[in-house]
Amino acid sequence: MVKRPKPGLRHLGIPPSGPFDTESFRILETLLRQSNATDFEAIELANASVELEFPTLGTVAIVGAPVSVQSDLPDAITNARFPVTTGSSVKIIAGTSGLRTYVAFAPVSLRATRLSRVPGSVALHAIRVIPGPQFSHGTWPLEPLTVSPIQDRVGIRYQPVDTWEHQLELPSEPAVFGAIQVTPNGTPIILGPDGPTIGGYPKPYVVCRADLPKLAHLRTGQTVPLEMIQLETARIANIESGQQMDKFISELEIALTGDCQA
Amino acid sequence: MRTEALNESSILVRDIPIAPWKFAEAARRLGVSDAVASYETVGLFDVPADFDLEQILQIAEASDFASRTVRILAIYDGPDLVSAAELLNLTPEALALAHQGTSYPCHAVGFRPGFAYLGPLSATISGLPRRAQPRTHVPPGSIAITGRQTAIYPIASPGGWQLIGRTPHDLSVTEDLQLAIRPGDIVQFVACSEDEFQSNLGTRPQVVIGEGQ
Repeated sequence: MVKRPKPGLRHLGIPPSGPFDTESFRILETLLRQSNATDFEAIELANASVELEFPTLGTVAIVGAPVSVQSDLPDAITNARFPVTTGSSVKIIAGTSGLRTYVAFAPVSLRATRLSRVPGSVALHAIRVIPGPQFSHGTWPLEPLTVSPIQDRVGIRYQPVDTWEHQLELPSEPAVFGAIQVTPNGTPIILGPDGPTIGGYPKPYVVCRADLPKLAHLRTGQTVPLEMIQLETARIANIESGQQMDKFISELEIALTGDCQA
Repeated sequence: MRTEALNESSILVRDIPIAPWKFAEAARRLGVSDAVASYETVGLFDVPADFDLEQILQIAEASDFASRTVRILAIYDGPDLVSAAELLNLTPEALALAHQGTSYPCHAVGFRPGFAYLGPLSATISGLPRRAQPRTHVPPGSIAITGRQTAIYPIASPGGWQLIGRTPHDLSVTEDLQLAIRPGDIVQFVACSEDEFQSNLGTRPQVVIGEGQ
């Protein structure tokens, strides 16, 4: 289960956590009219299949990486919301592109609605990075990274990069979601939303914030090139992607006006 | 002091003229929601890039920071005690005694909730590498050393440090967000019997000097 990120606890060693793909989560909240509910929770499925049974009447929404949905309920599809009846069930079967899908239930009656389009969290040509704290401590050629089988919400481990081997011994430093840590044998680990608040490996690059939701959808074996951009460019990209998301959400809210709130 | 970008909205402060944990505490008093201290650096999260660091320093220098001494009961029988002692050319008993012989300031809390970085270890027990194969499951309460550092795993987690003992105390972050060991605290390890261990199981460690004593 994931909730909105909760900052302010890093000094206790507690990362803000929250959904890996914040954009899909935000769409889910909006679909279920839960944007103001502070404790709204969703299931974060990572390439997993589940069967869910609903004890009461309400509405379910599914957003994120493509999945197939099996149910007796007539409107049950993904990237949509649909009413569920007491005792009904929905089977969600993992797809083959993207990785994380978000599912939530709200005990309110809302009409079935499908998203006319889904923002492009899944499509990924390159991960944009900015120089990290140890960028100048070595040479870190921008080579494509291949996702290893070892990945979870703490971090995504990649296949070792020969040219990134190092012998740097550094005091541990505060770390951030998206930092690329490199172990001595050149294995890059991109820290995830549950990643450590302090880390001792060098961090030559940091994934720019606008691309963080895309990390949620990297699959084992997938190779992605890195593209370095300057800090100022990353700031602008972050503002622009935030504005695009705000626009998408406000259009969705307009499309959903007339919902009767239970 | 100088800064580097951690990302587009967070900065890493270096060359801080006072203890980083005091600087981080002062930053939180000034309203920075996330300020994390480590050995030599402080991370300030979600702040403007031109945040006034001198103001934080002034607050820190004008503040009184409570100093506490925390006592940790310990049994030295960890799964790596014998092999670690061998690597150090010591008997297991000598390693255990040396570990108790020094008081350790807490430099930082991080890695996992409530995980306190303590040190430096005395020279005789310093310099052990991390295990080549990190354990996937280290039980809570495990007392560990590596390099010049020592720590106690507050919750079950993976870990690569050498496990030399165990404490009965609960060092996890409480529901009201209290740390058992805070940055700036002085930590003393005291060997205890199995009976003492059992009667202190799940208790918070005793504060022997300072607030909460």
